[in-house]
Amino acid sequence: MEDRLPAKRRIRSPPESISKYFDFDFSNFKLKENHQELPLWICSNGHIFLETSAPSYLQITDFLIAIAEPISRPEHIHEYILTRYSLYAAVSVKLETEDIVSTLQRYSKTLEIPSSVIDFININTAQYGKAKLVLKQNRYFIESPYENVISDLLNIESVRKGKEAASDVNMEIQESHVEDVKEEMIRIMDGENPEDIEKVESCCVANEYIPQIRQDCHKENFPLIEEYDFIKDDKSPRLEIDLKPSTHIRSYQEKSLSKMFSNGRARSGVIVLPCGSGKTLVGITAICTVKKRAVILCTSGVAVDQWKRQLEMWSTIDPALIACFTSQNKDCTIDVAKACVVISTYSMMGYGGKRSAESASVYEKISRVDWGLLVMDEVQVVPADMFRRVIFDVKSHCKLGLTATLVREDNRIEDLNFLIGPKLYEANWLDMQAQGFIAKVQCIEVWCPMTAEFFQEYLNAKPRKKLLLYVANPNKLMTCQYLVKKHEAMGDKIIIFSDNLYIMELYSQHLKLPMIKGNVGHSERSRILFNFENTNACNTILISKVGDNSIDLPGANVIIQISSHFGSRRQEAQRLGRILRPKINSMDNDFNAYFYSLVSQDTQEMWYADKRQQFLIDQGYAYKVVSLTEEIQRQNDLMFYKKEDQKTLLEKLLQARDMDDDIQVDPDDITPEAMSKKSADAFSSNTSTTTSRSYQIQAHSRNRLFADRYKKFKKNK
Amino acid sequence: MVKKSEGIFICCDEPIKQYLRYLDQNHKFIIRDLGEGQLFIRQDAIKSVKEWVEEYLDQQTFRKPESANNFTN
Repeated sequence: MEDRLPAKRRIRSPPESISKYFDFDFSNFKLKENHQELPLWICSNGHIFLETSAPSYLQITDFLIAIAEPISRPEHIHEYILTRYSLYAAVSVKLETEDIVSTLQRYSKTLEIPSSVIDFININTAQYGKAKLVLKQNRYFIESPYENVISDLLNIESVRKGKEAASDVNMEIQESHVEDVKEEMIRIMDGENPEDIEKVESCCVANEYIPQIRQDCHKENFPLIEEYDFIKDDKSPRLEIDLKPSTHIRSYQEKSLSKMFSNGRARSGVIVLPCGSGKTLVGITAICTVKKRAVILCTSGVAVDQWKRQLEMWSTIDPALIACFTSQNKDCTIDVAKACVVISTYSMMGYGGKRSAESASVYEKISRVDWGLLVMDEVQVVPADMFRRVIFDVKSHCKLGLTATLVREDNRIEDLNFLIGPKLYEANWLDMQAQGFIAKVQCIEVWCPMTAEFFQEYLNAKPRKKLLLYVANPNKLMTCQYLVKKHEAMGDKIIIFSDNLYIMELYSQHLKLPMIKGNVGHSERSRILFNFENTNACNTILISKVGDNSIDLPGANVIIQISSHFGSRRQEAQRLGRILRPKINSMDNDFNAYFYSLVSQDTQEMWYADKRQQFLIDQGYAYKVVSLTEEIQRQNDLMFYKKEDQKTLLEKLLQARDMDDDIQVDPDDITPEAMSKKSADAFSSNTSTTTSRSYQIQAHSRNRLFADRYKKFKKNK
Repeated sequence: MVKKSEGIFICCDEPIKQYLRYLDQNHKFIIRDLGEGQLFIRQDAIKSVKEWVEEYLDQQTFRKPESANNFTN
């Protein structure tokens, strides 16, 4: 059974005259009388389109989020897709098949929903609830009160292997164990007569097989329920923690948690909220709800400190119960008999090599215990080979993944579905902007033409040099300088991002700006940041890749990006996140934050820039394209205005040795040449970024951008 | 004696002109470089020149690849 509906079913082929240009034709759909007020187009391949201008927009959005995954949500038309996982999530919050179909029917513009869609919904909601996966004393068990379910499941190879690998435990399954399970199953199948449940079958499976088992069970349409009944769990010690009364939870944070705890039990999954909107608080509230021992994993030591501080700030936990396990702190003491919270990094827990004695003993303690909740920050890194094993090593009843950017440049983001769980909630960035929770940002792409000499060298250069040349383009440097002047005059705080260290140093020298990069020490960084935030002496700083996540800068409202890591969509979104905190003096509808991306025209950078923007475009951000060449020509005091200076710069660059960490090509990344050959599979990622022809093409005013179809159309005219 | 040769006069912006000169290294179609953004090229080369330029510009433009779940394909 497939994840999604196949594309070609039951779509009428278009008439001869236009079939050359389009592959589909839905003009035979019969519309209802009042179709103008209804919001939904439901297509036979599972895609649902929503018009935001419809009167029932708000209600239907809540419903759609519960049953489908958003692909793209710009201002006027939203696109969603029904997938197997989204339907499982729907059933787990007790939405019945008939309810789903009838609601869709009611709000659809057409008289009938395509039967392929109805079949898909039926198939994927039928089997939910028959089998359960539980964690007991560090081992996993598959259980079911229905006859034959376990034996059916054993037909799946991974289940069989998992059972064999755990044969020692299977020998000892006790009757008393069966009793508790029976009770729990009764609670789930509400209203079922206890006498009807004769026997609960159970079978132990080895831990290493669990993700594979989950995946295969999903494919066979036998999703395993994994809900942690933390209220009734008296085997794990209780953690005394509550939110402080002064802590205020916003509506979207509450909504996301309600998806996780909807029926009194904790469901594993991923919550996606924009940068700077309070994901940490969501994680902390989840821990406060479950009240069992928890592990929090982050990407770096800085993040570990941040989580610790936020825990102490928002909750009533006794600080002595928080243990930080990082490379600076390898011998932290954890008393596993009591409940506690351990904060660590992916690299510390996922490290496969030989450990030091202290580190090994702490690791041992952590992996031997049943944790109540595993919170994973920046969960998009988990599918990486290095970090996947943390899921095996830290056994917990419930897992919560948090991130702002659920994208990866390889196609492994889907793995999170069975490594952790489905996407529980994804916020709508535009809505949050409208409600004032995140700043209103204007994204601007500034096209900087290459100078003749630079372009000539660029065409003849090797790939590594090409990058240096398009980043050091004098027009780009001048544009940056111009923007800095303009915004400093308006009193703004500016951050300039540059992946490339060489260029960063160049700017720092010429413009006399402080920089923060890898080898700048902690105290120096703090000093620079303090000055930036609190004094007028320093209004602009340069930051390298280190600034992408951990550093917290609420005061900045302008970002200028002069060089970046190829086509990384995640990096683009994370950088935007640096200015997303709401501004104190935000006027109602004006933009109060600006994100400039400087791109050298006619070079490969254009391609990478477009690719990077895809994620943000899907969230609803429209990139404005401008060219500042005229303004720049008028100012003759800018850095590289004179031709001789440009020539000197060019010579210097050509001599510079190929260097630096930052110019390495990421094996995960895709170059333009490889892209044209690569098949669609490279992009089948979790749907907040799923490719779709139907995304609104943001208007690039230059007519060099043609859609394939339009070109074909023009040629044949 | 005056020597005459027929050709095509091209007017473009600097970067494209640089690109044409780069192509000229291999294909030899420029008769004369006439200054800022202006070139004089051989008549029979115009079709290929247009194609090459269009191809180069296409390469700079990112297009989302077709996904298996779409209306198309």
